[in-house]
This record gives sequence, C-alpha cells and structure tokens, in this order.
Amino acid sequence: MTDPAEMPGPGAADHQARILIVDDEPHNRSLLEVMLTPEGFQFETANSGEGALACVARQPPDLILLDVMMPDMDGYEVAARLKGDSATNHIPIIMVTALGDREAILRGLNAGAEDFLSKPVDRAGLRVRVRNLLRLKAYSDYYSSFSQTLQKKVASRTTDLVERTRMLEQQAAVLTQHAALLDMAPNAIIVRDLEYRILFWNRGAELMYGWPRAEALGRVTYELLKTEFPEPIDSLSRALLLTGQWDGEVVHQTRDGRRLLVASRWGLQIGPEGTSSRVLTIHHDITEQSRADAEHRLLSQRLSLATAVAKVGVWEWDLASDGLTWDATMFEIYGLPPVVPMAYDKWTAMVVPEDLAHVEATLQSAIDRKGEGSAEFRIIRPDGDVRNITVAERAVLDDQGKVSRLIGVNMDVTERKDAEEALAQSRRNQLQFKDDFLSHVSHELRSPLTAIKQFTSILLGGLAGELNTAQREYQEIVLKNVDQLQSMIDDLLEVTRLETGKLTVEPERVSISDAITDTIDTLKGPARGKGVSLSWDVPSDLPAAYADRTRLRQILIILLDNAIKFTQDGGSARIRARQTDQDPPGLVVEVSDTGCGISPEIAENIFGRLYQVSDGTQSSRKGLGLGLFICKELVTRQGGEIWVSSQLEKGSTFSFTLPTFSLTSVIAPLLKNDKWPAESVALLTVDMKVPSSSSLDATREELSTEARSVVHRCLLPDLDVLLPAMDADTEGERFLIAAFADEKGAAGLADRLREQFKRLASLEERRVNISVSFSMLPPLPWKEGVSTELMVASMATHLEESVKHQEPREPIHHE
Amino acid sequence: MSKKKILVVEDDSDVRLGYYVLLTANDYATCFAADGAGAINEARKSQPDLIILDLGLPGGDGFVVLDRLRAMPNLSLIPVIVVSARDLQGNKERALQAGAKAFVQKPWDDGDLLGLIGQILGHPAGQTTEQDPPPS
Repeated sequence: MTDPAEMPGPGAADHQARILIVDDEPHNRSLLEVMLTPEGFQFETANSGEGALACVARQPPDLILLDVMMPDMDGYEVAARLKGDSATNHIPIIMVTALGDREAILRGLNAGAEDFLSKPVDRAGLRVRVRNLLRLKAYSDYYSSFSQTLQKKVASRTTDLVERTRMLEQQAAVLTQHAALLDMAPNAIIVRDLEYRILFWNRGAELMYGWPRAEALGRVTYELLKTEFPEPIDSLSRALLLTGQWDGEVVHQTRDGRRLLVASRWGLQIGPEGTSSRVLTIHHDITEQSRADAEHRLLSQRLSLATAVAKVGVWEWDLASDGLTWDATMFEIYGLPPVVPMAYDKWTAMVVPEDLAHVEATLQSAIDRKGEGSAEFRIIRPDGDVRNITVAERAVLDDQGKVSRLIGVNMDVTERKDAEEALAQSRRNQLQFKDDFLSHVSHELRSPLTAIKQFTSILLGGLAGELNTAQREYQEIVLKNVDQLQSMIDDLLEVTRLETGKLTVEPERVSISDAITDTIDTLKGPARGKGVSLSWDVPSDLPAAYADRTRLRQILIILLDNAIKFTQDGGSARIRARQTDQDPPGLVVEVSDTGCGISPEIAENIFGRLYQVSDGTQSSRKGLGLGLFICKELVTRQGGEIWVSSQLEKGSTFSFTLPTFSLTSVIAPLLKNDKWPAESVALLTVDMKVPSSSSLDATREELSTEARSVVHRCLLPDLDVLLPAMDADTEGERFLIAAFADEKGAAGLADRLREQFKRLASLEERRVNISVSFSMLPPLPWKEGVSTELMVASMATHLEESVKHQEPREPIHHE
Repeated sequence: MSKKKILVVEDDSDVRLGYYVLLTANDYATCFAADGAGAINEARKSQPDLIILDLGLPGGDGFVVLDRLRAMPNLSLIPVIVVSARDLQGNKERALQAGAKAFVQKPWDDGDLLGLIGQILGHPAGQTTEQDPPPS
C-alpha cells in the first residue's frame, strides 16, 4: 500500500502537517495522538472549545480533530465558528462522535465539518481520513493562494493608477490655486522636499530674499539662504518627521548679503500614499521687531537700574481693590521688608498725619483731571526715622476711559532737603555776614563823618574866625558832600535792614494828605533852591490809608526828592492822590515832574537794587542807587505796588498804591478756623492827655511812642488788638483796644495797663494824664455758619459802631 | 548866673574837640570823659547840668553808664542826651526808657543839637534863665 502522504502535492512535502486534537478527555487526546504518531505529524491539543479557538488563532493547524461532546462549548459550535471565519474556514475539521449517532453526524456536517469518525476510533479509518483531508487541503491552499495573489496584484495596480491620476490632477489644481494665494502673502512661503530642495517660492520670498523664483527653484534652501539654524539640521529634520512641524527663529541671508532674523514655521505635508515628501515653510522677517524688542528690553533694564540707583520707588495703585503694588525700592524707602503686602491704608498710616491731606488731595486731583500730580510729604518709618518723600503720579485709563489705576514714583529727598537746608543756612550765614559787615562799616563811617561835619559847621559858624567869601563857599561844598555821604550811609543801612528783615512795617490808619503836606514842607527848601515849584492835590473825601506812617513819609520824600533832582530850573513837581476803581478800593499816589524823563529800558530796571541814573545836575555823581529800591520794598511790604511812566524830555510819573484802611484788615487775623477767640468782646479806651504847657513836639511824639509800646506790651497776641486811631488829635493820644474777653478778663487787662503806665517815670515827670476804661460790647450779631468774610465784616461794623459811640474825648485830670 | 556845665562823654578826641569849640563858643562850661568809668567820676566830681553821652564807648556800653547814672541819687536827675552812630530804630526807644531826655544820631546838625541843649537846660523846673538863641 502506498502511503498517501508520500504522494506529490503542493506543499505536502514542504512541512510536517500540524494537527490539532480537541477533546476534553486527556485519555482520548492521547489515544488519537498515539494512533497518528507513526504518520509523522505535529500535534497540538486543546481540552475545550475556547482552547481550540485560541490555538487556531495562534497558529492555524492543517487539520482539526474535534470532539463533539465537550462542556461549555461543544464541537458543533467550534466548527461553526471556524467555518464562519474566512481566515480559518479552509482548515479541514473531522468531527469525532459517539458510534451510530446519526443526528450528531448530520449536525457536524451541517456545522461545516469535512468528515467524521465514530468512537471508538478505528485506527486505519482515522489515518485514511486524515491523510485525504490533508492532501485536499494542501492543493486547495496552493491554488487559493496563487489566485489570490494574482487577483490582488491586478486590482491594486489598477486602483493605484486611477488614484494616482486623480490625486495628481487634484493636487495640481489646488497647488495652482494656492500658489496664487501664496503669492499675495507678505511672508516668504517656500515648499521644499525632504532634501531641502525648493519646489515652490512665492512672491513674498522673492521680495524678502531678493532671489527670483526661477533662480530659487531646485536650489537647496539652506545653501541659497545661508541659513543659520538654532540647532543641528539633523535634529531639526528628525523633529519635523516626528511631530510633523517645527518652528523657531533662524538667520537667513538675502541675495545682497543682508542678514535677516526670521521666524520660521515648517509643516510636513502628507502625500496621497501616506508618505511625506514635502515641507511647507513660512518665514516672517522679525529683524526690526526683534531690534525693537531688544531695545525695549534694554530700556526697561536701564530704567529699573536707574530707578534702583536713583532710589526711585515705583508704585501702582489699583483704585478698585485699593491694592498697592510696590517695587523693591519702595520697600527700601519705607524701611519695610519687601514681603509685606501693601494696601492703600497701610501707606496712609505711614504718612505724617499733617501731610496726609495735602498728598491725598494731589492724588485725588490726578484722578479727577485724568492727569498728573506731584507733592512732597513726610513719612515715619517703622524705625521712627522721618523721611522727606516726593511723589509724582499719573492716572491710567481703562478701555472706557475711566481712571482705573494711578502709577507713580516716590523719591526719598531727605538728604537733598538736608543739603538744601545746609546750603540755605550757609547762604543765610553769608548774607548775615554781609549785612553785619555793611552795618558795621556804615556805623563806623558815621564817626569820622561826625567830626568832619562838626568842624565844617564850626568854621561856617565863624567860631574859628570869620571866613572870606571863597572860604565860606568851599566849606559849604564840603558840608553838602558830607550830607550826601550821610544819606548814602543811611540808605545803605536801610537796605541792610530790609534784607535782614529788621525793617518792620507797622500799618495804621494814616491820612494821605497829612503825609503829603508834611513831605512838601520838608523839601520846600531844596525845591526853591533849584527853582522847581511844588504842588499837591488830594480830594478832601479821600479815605485814610492802612500804612506805616514813617515809611509812607520816607517813600514820598525819596520820590519827591528824585523829582526835584531830575527837574530843571522852572519846572514843577506835583503829588496827587486818588482812589482806585478796584474792589476793594485802594489808594494811588502819584509823584510827577516835568524833568528829563526816563527811557523805557531804564524804566524797566529802575526799581532794581543798585540801579544808578546819573542825576542831571551832577552827572559825575551817581549815588548808591538805592532810593527807588527802598521805595519799592517799602511799598511792597505795605501791600502796594509801584511803577513809573515816563516820556523823555517831558517828565516822569512815579505811582504807588496803598490799601485803604478798614477795620476788617486789622481784625481779620484774629479769626481762626472760622471762630473768634472768645464769645464776648470788650472795648478798652486808653486816653493820654499831655498838658499844653509842654510844647515840645518831639517830646509829644516820643511820649506817644512810649505809651504805644506800653499798650503793646500789655496786649495778648491772638486775643487783643489795638485799633488804629480813628481821627487825628493834637491834644493827646487815644488808644482803642478790642479785647476778646469777658468782663473779668477786660477788667484784668485794664488793671495791667494802669499798672504799667504808673511805672513810666517820664509820664509822671511831664504831668501826662492817662486814663483807662472799658465797656463790654453787645452780643455779637451773627449766627453760626456764616462765611468768614461776613463774620469779619460784621465784627468790623460792630466795632466801628461801638467806637463811634464812645464818649467824646475830654481832659482827664485824675487817675 | 554861672555858666551851665555840660559833661561830654565821647571816646573820639577829634569829636571831643569839636564839642569843646562849639559849646564853649555858645557859652557853656564843658568837662569831658572818654570812657564809662571816667564818665561816672567826672559826673560825681563836676555835677554837670547836662550830660552828652555817646553810646559806643570803650570798656562798656553807653547804656550801662546811663543806668549807673540813673541809679546814683545825686546824679540821677541830671538830664542826659544820648548820642550814637547806631540806628535810631530800637536804640532811641531804649535810651528814652532808660531815662535819657533825647536821642541824637551821628552825625548831627550843630544847630539842632544846640537847640535841643537850650530846650533841656532852659526848661527844667525852677530854672528861669533864658538862653540866648544859638548863633546861626
């Protein structure tokens, strides 16, 4: 008998056939194995349906011996599953059934089994069946695989061709479209293949790199553009293939050799076969931007360095949250550790309380005006150190144009302030020295001048023998010059007093017409000597001025003396006074002459210190040029202004203003925080009566001064005020005092005044009578809440009324 | 009637000589001191009718001399004219308060000074002597 296994057949000799034996009984499996072993097969076994399927899936066998009766999954199901799967349906199955079970045989064949065996298995039958089936399968496998391969080859070739054509057409269309679009893009768009050869080069690339498309196509990008990559090109390529894209900054060179910093973005394009063959790259020139960025970085570095070095603290205040953001310097300035979270409240707590309102006001005004502001204030650091701070802030607007934040800086200016203070002190010291020096020199000059004047007078007085005409004339020249020197020294001392603040202005109620007539009287002589006529014009109803009597006279004398000095023989000088139209009305006094006039450029500087104009008669003699400077200072200190108008060869007019006297100007300083210092007011009257037998005017004036100083000594500042004399009196002096006090306080003040006057020996000696009396004023006639101005004005009226109703002055002979 | 005697306290010898010529020519008797101590001695010794006192003296302020004069019973009533190169402001008031009759600033006008002397010496209580007007 020929062994069918030795028959030629496709594949049969190629390998040992693998047979899977499936049975839940180990004994049955071994039996089948033993029966077939001599045939030279390989065996696999499975003890269940699932095991069989798993085994087939692992490695499909050439044949399966399948027991029908198994728990869980019986043979029919295993057969049905294997035959239902195209991957396994070619594997022949021999069902092993119980003997004579027809139904089982039919079910097995229906389930797809190729053959069956009945138990107990006949050894020969088993071999034949297995061999036949194996042979069949080998042929089937052979043909099946052959035709399959053939079929596949044809089909795939066809599809491939069709698809390729279609894709190419599509791609061409899209590319054309894209190319047009890409040309419009401002960026350089380059398509290259994986070997960096340029496939596409848009208009943007032409413009950016200067290479025309025709010259760029086919070139290697990094050679054409001399690309400097941020990392080795290999690793870039790897990253691109791995992730499909890359972006970064590279340096490209243009055709004309310019280096561009370029932001590059690469994208891998996936081809139709799923392969990648081209890379789309977009390049954006960021050279300028990066320069700007670098500059910005540099600037901001410089700024923070500058703020740190200059100790400028930078802050930001968010209005909505009240949060403060501080830089390190801010914390340093405030002496706080830089970890403390800041808030507006914490800041205000460090500001010196009396400075807070001011600095907050400037912050608020910066917010209100949507603008800027600045202030200076002091802070108290945690270590108790007080520092001077300047702040400058600016409002920052949000989208709606509302102020959302303030940003600003703080600077510690304590050292600067100290230095400024030291500088100012040294300047003051220098000035003090200069003034002391001037004062000393001036006083010392007076002594020899005294001797010169003395002996000139003696000679002129004929005390050393009669002088002849020439001698007399020459001595008079000496005397005149001595007088000039004397007035220069006086001016010098006056200026020194002005600058050291030693010159005091004590304004009172002054009659302008008295001051003017007095001045004209004084200068009558010199005017007559020069042939200059003097006149004056004052309206009879001109109100009194609020001025310092002596200083007003001084101003008038300087101005009139100048007018005479600069006017030729036959000219005139005139003093006029009138009320101004201003509100409140002031007084203006004019001193005019018909002299040589002043050119405009001189007029501009004429009130400056040491400004000299040579006087007409003695062109070589200039004087110190201090007169008008003194005038200006004196006018200014009395709340007035001075100016000149002039026409060359026609004359000049010097004008100055003075405030009109009113009680309000005297009492206004007593009103503090809208409150008078006391509820009730007393009016004290001090009458001084000088006996008429004492005819010395000088003495009377001295007595007045003395009495005035006594009164001043007794007054309490901020509570009592000496009212100015309401009318001129030649008989004596009356002092009126408004005292903010109750009756007891007023009586106390009256007693003190009497006591002080008693101690004054000179009064007694001259038989001067002093009487002191007082009366309480009626209750103040206003209510709470009236304006400051109204309070002062009504108090003034109140006092004025009360003064008017004072008893008329009468000689008093007792005390 | 004997001549009125005037004590001049002045440290500058030229100015002293000037006083001497002026006062002698106007018929006053004169005596002199050049400093504070000398002033007190001379005043005690001479019992002048008037003292012309310069404030700027060597070895002591004129005000000190004034105070001492006022404190001595036999000298306190002698009228004093204070003369000074110092400022009028402040000094005049102070001198008057310290008991001086007048304050004259240097350099003065001889006519004014003589007028002042005449007024003071011509008017004190009990004195009736009329002074000749000073020569012009």
